[in-house]
Amino acid sequence: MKPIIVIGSGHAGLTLTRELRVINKEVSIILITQDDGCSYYKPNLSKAISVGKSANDLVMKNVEQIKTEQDVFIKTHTKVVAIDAKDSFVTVDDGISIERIFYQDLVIATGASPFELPITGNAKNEIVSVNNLDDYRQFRETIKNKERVLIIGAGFVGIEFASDIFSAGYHVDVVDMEAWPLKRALPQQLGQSIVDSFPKDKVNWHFGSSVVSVDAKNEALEVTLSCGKKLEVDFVLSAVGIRPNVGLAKAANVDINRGIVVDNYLRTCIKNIYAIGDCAEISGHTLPFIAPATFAAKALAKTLLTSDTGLSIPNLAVAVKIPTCTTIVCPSLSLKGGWEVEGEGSDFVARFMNSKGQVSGFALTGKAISQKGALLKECIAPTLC
Amino acid sequence: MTVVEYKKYCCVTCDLVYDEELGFPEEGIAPGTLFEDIPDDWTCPECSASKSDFFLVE
Ligand SMILES: Cc1cc2nc3c(=O)[nH]c(=O)nc-3n(C[C@H](O)[C@H](O)[C@H](O)COP(=O)(O)OP(=O)(O)OC[C@H]3O[C@@H](n4cnc5c(N)ncnc54)[C@H](O)[C@@H]3O)c2cc1C
Ligand SMILES: [Zn+2]
Repeated sequence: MKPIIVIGSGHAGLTLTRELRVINKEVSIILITQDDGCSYYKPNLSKAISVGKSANDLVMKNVEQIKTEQDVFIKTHTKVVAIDAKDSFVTVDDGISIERIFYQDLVIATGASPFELPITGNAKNEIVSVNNLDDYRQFRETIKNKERVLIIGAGFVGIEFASDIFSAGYHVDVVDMEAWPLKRALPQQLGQSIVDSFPKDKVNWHFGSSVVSVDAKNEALEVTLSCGKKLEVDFVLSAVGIRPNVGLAKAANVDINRGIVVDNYLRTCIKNIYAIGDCAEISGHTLPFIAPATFAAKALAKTLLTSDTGLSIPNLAVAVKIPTCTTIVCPSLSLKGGWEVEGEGSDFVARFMNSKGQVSGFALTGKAISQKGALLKECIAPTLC
Repeated sequence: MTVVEYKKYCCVTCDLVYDEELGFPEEGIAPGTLFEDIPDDWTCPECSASKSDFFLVE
């Protein structure tokens, strides 16, 4: 029998191969990845500078350990360049040779790539994004002898980086088009308590503004904002969000929208091709977080090796790691509705009430995070389909 | 007198360690709670992995 081929060794790909092996010891599994195949917990990338961790410190298992533990064939530093959906094979390129590998079932777990902003200026290429271990390795090396860092984007990843980098002794500027951080996941009062929790002499916020250009000037970078302000910094980090990697699927005529479109069984429009993790889109939603990928990998392992198992995801709370203001959010899938906020000081409970008056998401800050369990129960079950 | 030998369990996804001796007071799990006594629907406070995704640290 032909193998199950998995493309990508991120959290989605490696969780899937592990779960497949738990169910069946014999089935042939090939994991193809363009990186070095070691496992790491990606959320650590935005919390590691201040604790002095190198990229190697963040590695949980190297590829040899994974091969032994999972008994899976792993091709590292190998890029899948094409999918032939008709004859069920992939074309791979390891930099030395190009070969075809046939599959029984194919799982695309290619993740997502940082969004590129339309920024001008002679130093626009110096804008850095950190989305994998190699990016982090380079980022940590480059900021070593710098002092002032500008972060574009005050979403989850942007504010975690802001927290981590100022704690490591840098001066930080944060620019975001919205009026407060994490605008999509929490209301203004909570956003304000997050902002207030950062030391004013170390972090400057520029809300309602975007970066227009980045130019090299006097051995530093001059950043011009849409409000006209000019800032002099040494390093620019972009954390504005990600775009699902859909290129391979698109070229193979697999349906795509924002992500690779899959049904509740993680199946694309082609019967033996599936997608999970940051690259997938289900019922109009991309779910670029750890936990949904874990659930998807587990359901898909069963579908591939036992019987069709639909994905069902419970309400999930994501902790935003900013030690100055502990924050937990459970974003609502439906964006229609409004916030109801209780609390004072920096301890808030915010419930997102959908158009039917049900709690469909929440956010907690400060001492209120102890109410996570109760709020998860209050929330209606997320409906994906 | 019996001396309880506390164990440690590690989350396969995020490496978070549950130390029976310390519990997870902020998650409502008292110090000294044995891993097997944690409810089965409990999930990893860091990454939401299920209880069965924790392995015993030798
Ligand atoms: C800084 C940061 C902080 C985060 N914090 C949190 C958090 O606190 N909580 C949370 O839930 N989520 C967080 N996330 C999101 C979470 O980490 C991701 O949702 C998750 O790791 C995605 O896993 P994935 O396997 O889908 O993708 P990836 O990890 O991106 O893996 C994609 C894999 O595909 C491979 N690949 C791609 N194209 C090809 C090709 N053509 N051929 C071969 N291989 C290919 C890549 O090499 C890689 O191995 C964070 C993300 C970042 C960047
Ligand atoms: Zn975990």
